[in-house]
Amino acid sequence: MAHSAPPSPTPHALIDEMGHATAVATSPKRSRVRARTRLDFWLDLVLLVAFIFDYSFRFTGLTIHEWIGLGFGISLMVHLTLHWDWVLRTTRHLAGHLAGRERIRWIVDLALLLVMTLCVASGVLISRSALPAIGITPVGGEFWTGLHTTTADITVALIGVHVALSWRWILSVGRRVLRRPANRAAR
Amino acid sequence: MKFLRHLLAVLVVISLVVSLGFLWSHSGAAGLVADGGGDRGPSRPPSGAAATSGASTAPSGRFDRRGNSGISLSNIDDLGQTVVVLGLILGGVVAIDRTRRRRRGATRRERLMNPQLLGRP
Repeated sequence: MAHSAPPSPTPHALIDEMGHATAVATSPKRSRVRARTRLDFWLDLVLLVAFIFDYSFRFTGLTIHEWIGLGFGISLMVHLTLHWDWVLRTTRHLAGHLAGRERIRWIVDLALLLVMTLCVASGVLISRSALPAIGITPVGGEFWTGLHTTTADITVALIGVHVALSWRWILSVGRRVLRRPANRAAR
Repeated sequence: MKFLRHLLAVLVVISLVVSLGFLWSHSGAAGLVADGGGDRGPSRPPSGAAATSGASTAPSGRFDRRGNSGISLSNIDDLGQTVVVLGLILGGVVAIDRTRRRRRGATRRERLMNPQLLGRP
């Protein structure tokens, strides 16, 4: 994650709709991606992959499902914390002039926050493997089981929309993050 | 410091949502999501006499078809299904977004080519 590139003469960063800061590449030297952008990209990717595995319950089995779920919950809190500035900024501008796309994104993200929080919380409350393993007895119950499955199903749809609304950012950063450094490629 | 402040705010919001969940569980609307023995999701282990006597219950539902032993490659289709569902939603939204952008770009070009549409003499 260390970013040791020499400071560019005209440091310039773009903040996309989601609050993702992206270093602008105007020359090959400046095409390096900022550390924060890298962190956003990899954390978001880990969250997406973790959710895909966690939702595929028959594939992972109960124990892995629960531990991935706990890790997912913690990573989700970090993701939210990293983008809290965007949440505050967009909420403040909600009453005033805000582009339709931004408004849709805010609604989707709010729904995702509610649904995902309930999904992770209910998953913790009905845990049969992870929490008992560390000596905690969850409350359980039909309500929490039903809530867990219902919110998980809604989350799949919302995650698809949430990711799709940032597809340009994902493509542009993904290309630069996954690209091999020029000097290594030249060898 | 800023990170901690934001983390605290996030924790407050999460606590609020979880509290709402608890309120919901005690309200009359709890039946809306209560598990009716559907095909998906975890279900509680057998309790009471059946559990203590070791009586086995017939496995039912998506959850009970899997053991706790870890990854099951024979059920990789489940992972494939998730990827397909997510991919379809993602692709759909991206397609809509691209069409909207293309249409908007075409309208803008049309306006530039035809100044009368801009209200210029």
